[in-house]
Amino acid sequence: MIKRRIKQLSSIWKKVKRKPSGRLAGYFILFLFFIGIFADLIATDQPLFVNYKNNYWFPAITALWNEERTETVTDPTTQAKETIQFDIAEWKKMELETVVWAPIPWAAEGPDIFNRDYTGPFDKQFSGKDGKVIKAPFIFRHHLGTNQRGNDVLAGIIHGTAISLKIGLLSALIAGLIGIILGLISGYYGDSQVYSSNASVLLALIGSIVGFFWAFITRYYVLYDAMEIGFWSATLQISWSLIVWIGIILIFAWCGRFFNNLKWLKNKNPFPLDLLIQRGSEVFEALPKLLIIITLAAIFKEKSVGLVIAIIGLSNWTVVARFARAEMLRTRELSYLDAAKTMGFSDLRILYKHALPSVLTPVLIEITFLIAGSIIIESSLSFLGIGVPDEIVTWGSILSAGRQQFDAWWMVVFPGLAIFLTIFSFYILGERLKEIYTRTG
Amino acid sequence: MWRYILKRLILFIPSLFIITLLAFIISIKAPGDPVQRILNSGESDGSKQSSKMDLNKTAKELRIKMGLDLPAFYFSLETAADIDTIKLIKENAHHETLKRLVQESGEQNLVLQWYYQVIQTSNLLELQLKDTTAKNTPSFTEVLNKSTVLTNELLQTVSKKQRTVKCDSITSLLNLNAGLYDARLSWKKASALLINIEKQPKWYLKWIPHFHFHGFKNQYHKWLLGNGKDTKGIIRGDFGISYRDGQPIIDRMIPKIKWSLALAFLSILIAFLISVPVGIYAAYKANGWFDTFSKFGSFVLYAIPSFFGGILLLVLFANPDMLDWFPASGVKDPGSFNPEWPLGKRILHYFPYLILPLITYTYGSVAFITAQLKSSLSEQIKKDYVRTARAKGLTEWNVVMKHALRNSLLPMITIVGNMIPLAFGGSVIIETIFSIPGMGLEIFESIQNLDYPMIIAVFTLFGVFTMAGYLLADIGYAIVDPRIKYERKAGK
Repeated sequence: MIKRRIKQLSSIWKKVKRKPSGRLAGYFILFLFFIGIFADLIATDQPLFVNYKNNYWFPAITALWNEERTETVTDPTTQAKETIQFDIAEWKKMELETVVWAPIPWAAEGPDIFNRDYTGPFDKQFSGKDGKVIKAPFIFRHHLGTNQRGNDVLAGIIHGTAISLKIGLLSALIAGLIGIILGLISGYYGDSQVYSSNASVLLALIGSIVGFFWAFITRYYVLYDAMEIGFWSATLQISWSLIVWIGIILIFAWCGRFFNNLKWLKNKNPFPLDLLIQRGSEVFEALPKLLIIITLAAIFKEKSVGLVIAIIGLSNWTVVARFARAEMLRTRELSYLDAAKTMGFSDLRILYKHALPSVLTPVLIEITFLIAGSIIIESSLSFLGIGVPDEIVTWGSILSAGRQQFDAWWMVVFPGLAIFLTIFSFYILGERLKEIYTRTG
Repeated sequence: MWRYILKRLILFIPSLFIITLLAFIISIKAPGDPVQRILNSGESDGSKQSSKMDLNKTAKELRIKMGLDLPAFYFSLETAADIDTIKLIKENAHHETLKRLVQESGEQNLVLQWYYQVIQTSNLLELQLKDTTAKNTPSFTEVLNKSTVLTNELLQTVSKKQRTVKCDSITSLLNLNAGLYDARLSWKKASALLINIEKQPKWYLKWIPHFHFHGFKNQYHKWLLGNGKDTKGIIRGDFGISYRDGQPIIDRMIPKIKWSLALAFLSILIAFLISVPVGIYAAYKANGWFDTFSKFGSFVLYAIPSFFGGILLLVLFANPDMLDWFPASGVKDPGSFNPEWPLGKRILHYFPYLILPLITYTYGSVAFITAQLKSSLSEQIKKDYVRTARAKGLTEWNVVMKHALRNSLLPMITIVGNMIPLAFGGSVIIETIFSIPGMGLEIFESIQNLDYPMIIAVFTLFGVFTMAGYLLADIGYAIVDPRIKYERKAGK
């Protein structure tokens, strides 16, 4: 299974590579992923490897799981003891015997006191050694300048890459999951495929009220407390409530089959599933997302990346659902699905094994564009200072700081360029995939 | 077709209802007390000096006037364990604890008894504390103080763990000291009650739904339709008053909407003026150099987020160090602008301020519309009827501009329909960057100030306009394109 998928992916990549635009975009996105994944090792103010008084450490690597690692060192000559907490130690001032610095020896949030107040990439930059201020050696230069507090812009951009990709991918994943499921259902069943007896519809209505009661009103204080704790526990409890609600509705609807003694109750009518999903997604699209984000941020009291991911994902599913539905409508007309139906396969099997693979490819292409869109939303939000916590540096937040000081052009141009190139490559890749797909059909 | 339009209009109503309902839920769940906010906003400009009693009285009156004492919705769904006599308890801070206890145990009476018993204990302790005839030693006073504070805290403690800890410490404090006979007795009673409560004798009550029907006398109804006296309801455009300055929301909104509307209208116009010819030519010479160039160009433009584009323009063209061609922010020069100028002169004055925002506003839609038009037109050009038209010997101009273009303009209806809410809401980002006093900036500022009436008004109006845009687009489609059948195909 996995082997086949890998084979499929590599054959797609071969086709994408045939055009230089696709090749460049693909390689650039791979490069971004590399930077995003290893951001903590590429740009960090802790050395990759250090030899300090006969102690051999890999501070940047151990920081990945043990941020506040503390070691006690005994000086071999004076026998004086010294405690070093790795994340706040000033490694650049210490007398290290051997040291290997990260390619960018600065953290995203680590002020450099020698180069404060918007030092440009071509300005004179300084660093301190033995208590004296000297011209900064090349390795300690801020290649893309610093901000007001002396934070390295390049390090910020590198850490911003990780955040942007994370938010873009995960929110596209959420949007894709919800959108594909609802789109498939609404395209496959339409308005006239699902028949339900009047008894089932009535019971489902009652069930939705009772289920809502048990899921949300009885559990009110549980949900309330979970929201106080934080985003993830709130998500857990809310999804549990949702499962309970939907489950109770389904159980009630299923019970409708026992009410068959009255003719009116037994009457079956087509259930407008498609219509409901369509109108529901329309309402969803009509909600002003920005306001919802603020409101939720007010409810959750503190900003969190998870919240941003959830909100962008939830606000984008309608796009995926529309595509998946259109593809499903097209696929439904094909004869192989008819064959599958005649063979008596269950709906679930037809949807999962037969319809999904042919719907998935065009939808995945759409998701490529969606990732780009999510990254734009994320950076716009950080630009406005909403959503992502203040201590996390993002492309949008660097740009927003650059807006205060036009002389510091590097704080506008470089993060902007990073956003532009990322989105542009995703667009080009998506376009190339579309081209391949429409050609092979 | 008319049947479709009618159906579409009828389906519009429940969606509208859901939007208003969501806005209403936000409005009543919004953090903070609206009465306090309004009182504070009035206080900041007025110089009223009122005592606490007066303030409490006005707050109470305002609460009744705003209808906040009414039930929230037409009906309410509560657990059978919910406590309705809670309103009688004056201390708002104690409500939460009591509600939770009742919810857990289902024993309303026991919880109330416990509550009054704790209050009595605390009163007895306070009496002892204030009693000057009894010569309390300092350590004894401290014990008294501590246990009084603890009993008060106990009534505001929601978690069971902390409650147990506090109860235990009160018990030990009271037991340590001789005297205090009354208080200890009272506390003993309270503890016994609490033990009974914590056995949760009627735990099942919270699983039993209670349905109340309240009729039209509820907050939502009045919010939506007005109370017939001084409020008119959102349906007639009365969104209440702003928390920031006490002005009616609608009066604040109208001058701002003008700016957003003007910008959006101009931007749509310019976007179509540029992208229609470009799109047509690109589709006509498909895969030619112009097509490739326009495709690349529209991708580039589309990939520049508007905040980056806007700031880049500012850095380049409104920066004394680079090119100082345009003013950097605002829409007018407060020094020389005179509101009594004739319209033409005013527009001339606004003009340089609007160029950069307009460019920022427009470039994305230019890219989008060009790409859309190009793809739909090149699809039409491949079709049989175009080949027929060519075979008839029509000129290329006629074939493309008269036959193909008309059909390919259909998706534009959707685009225009989708732009309607934008025209109302403006663009938060662009208006923030260029400090244009439109709706976008207003939204951003009201969010920062937590001006909920404004947020809710925007929420509702944005939703309504978006859905109206969809509706108009669908109806426009149905009217323009007679081929489209909206009756759904019967299932196979």
